[in-house]
Amino acid sequence: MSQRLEKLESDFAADGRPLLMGALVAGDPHVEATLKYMSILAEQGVDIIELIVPFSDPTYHGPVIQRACARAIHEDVGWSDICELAARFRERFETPIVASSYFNRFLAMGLENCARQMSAAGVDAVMIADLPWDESQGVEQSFAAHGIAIIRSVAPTTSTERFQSMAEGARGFIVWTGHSGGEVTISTESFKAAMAGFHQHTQLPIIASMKVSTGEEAAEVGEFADGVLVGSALVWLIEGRGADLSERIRRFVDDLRRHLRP
Amino acid sequence: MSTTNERLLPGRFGRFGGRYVAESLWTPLQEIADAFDEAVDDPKFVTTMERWLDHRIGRPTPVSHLGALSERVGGAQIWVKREDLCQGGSFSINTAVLQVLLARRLGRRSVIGETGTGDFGVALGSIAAAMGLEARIFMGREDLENETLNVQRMLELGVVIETVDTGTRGRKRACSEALRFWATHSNQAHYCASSLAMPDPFPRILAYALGVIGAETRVQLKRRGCDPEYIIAPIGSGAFGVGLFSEFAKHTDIQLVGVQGGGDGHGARTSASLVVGSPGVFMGTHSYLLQDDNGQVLVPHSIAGGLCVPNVGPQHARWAAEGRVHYVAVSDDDACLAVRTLARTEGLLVCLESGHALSYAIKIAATLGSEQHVVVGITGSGLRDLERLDQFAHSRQTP
Repeated sequence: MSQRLEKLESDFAADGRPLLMGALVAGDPHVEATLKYMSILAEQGVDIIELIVPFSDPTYHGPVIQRACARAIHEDVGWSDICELAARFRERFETPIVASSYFNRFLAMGLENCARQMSAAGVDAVMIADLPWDESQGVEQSFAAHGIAIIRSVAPTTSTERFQSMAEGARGFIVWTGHSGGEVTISTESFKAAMAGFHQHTQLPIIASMKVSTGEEAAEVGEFADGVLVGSALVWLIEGRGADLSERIRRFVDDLRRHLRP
Repeated sequence: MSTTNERLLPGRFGRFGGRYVAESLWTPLQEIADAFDEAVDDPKFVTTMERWLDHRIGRPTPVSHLGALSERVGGAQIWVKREDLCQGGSFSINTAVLQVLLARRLGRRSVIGETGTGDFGVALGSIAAAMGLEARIFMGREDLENETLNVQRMLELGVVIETVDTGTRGRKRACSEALRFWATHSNQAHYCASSLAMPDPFPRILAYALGVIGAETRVQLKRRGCDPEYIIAPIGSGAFGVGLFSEFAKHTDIQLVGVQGGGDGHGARTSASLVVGSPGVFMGTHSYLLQDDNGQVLVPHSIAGGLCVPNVGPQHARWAAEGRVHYVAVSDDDACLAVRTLARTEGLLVCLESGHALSYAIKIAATLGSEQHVVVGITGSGLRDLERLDQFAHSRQTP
């Protein structure tokens, strides 16, 4: 595992400060812009940056990210662009980067090759939307050999027993996917109960993806989870563009951060 | 691809198959897999299913010898297995029976599915109505506009239709939306697959439901003294093909041929994943896939809605890799011509999917002797394709 991810783990173990994770679609609207947005996130205290590598059929993402993927594919964003983005970001920042996509994109590149290049570029982990834990063992080994962690995802349908097995050997952090692009249908009570159950079986932070789009919502989710993943709301800001976009991203992230106990 | 012991992983067909889904779907899929394994071990369940197939949807369907067509082609004897005679005019009702029975066994109140051509929507709608369950069908807007007859039929059957906005024909996006809906309603609703190119357990479930097609065909041919040289089926996602081929896969003296949609016939606009595609993971399964060098999935093209899929069920990937089944592509025009030839010589109006298989059969039969036999699987009736045939007539001459 990378030193950056190790530090994230140990810092969290030490102070339990809630984590803020922000997702961007790489290459939306173009690669230079993504680098700029990543820098803003890092400067505003985002703890982890998820770089979504566009896929033709982002089944498990909602309409906002689906549209962003379509725009980025139009820009022909490939793995070399992702690696270049990460490497240039690394010149200035230590914020951990998670490259996320669908399994076929990793397979097409070749797992070994992909892991080697991403590791060299300073990527810390990968998330693969359609690779469940049960199918991931061999893949994890390929990536681990290059110091890259595979982030495990859990969902409202994950039982505590299943979580117990999944948490064993998990690295970095765990992501709770509460909506998979659709509406959040879980009640606050069930969410609270699931988090409480899961926390008995892991020391790692559990970061929740719950369609958060305001500081208030971030605070609510942060009450039970160890962090908040903000994806669609950020990508939606970028879709809207406008002259003061950088400033609006800065204000949005700042608001999230302040509500999440800095 | 993976160093994990494959026996521990679900739904493998050689190195293909698997259950590549988001975590939210893993447990609901495992529940269906467990329910299916228990159900097929329960003689009462199996008897109930067979009763529905025999007394309701019209099994066994006949195998017909096409004397006039064979004579016209001037080669082998051509036979057809008539799934167009199932209730509703399509083979897909066989899969609807098993899956709606599973839904009932699990105590679900409704069934969810997606449809491209509308055939599966009609099938699921009729069986759900008969068993007292609600049916909710997801369908792409393009398909909805193209398949007016089947949409009307679904509405008459009381199906709730959910329109999905897509840029292209085919059930891919509709399937994503159906699964997304199911992931948050899996306590009340049962997801029913129409495609074989899906995560485990669906390739196993559909193969089980459709195995009856091949089993009947083998017995019927034997009774008629027919020892087939070739058995030919159209392959979209390949559910029908698995149903027809499985029974014959061990008889290596019979050549099995799967016919995919060759689109415009020039290779670029095609849906022939087993001819021009390569292995990849998509829609939850590791199989052959139309994709570019970056692993982006390409848009499939075929005049036959049922063949318009970018990937194929994992059983076919294994057969292709082992060389057990020969996979070929037939163009839109050749398929239309074959459908029309059959209608004019035999009075049978079959769907364009079947036209693909028939076109290849006619070509192959011409190279064989009159004592040899070629069997073609007919997946459904051609009623829904009348408009497309009409368009074809205006661009081409009739046979």
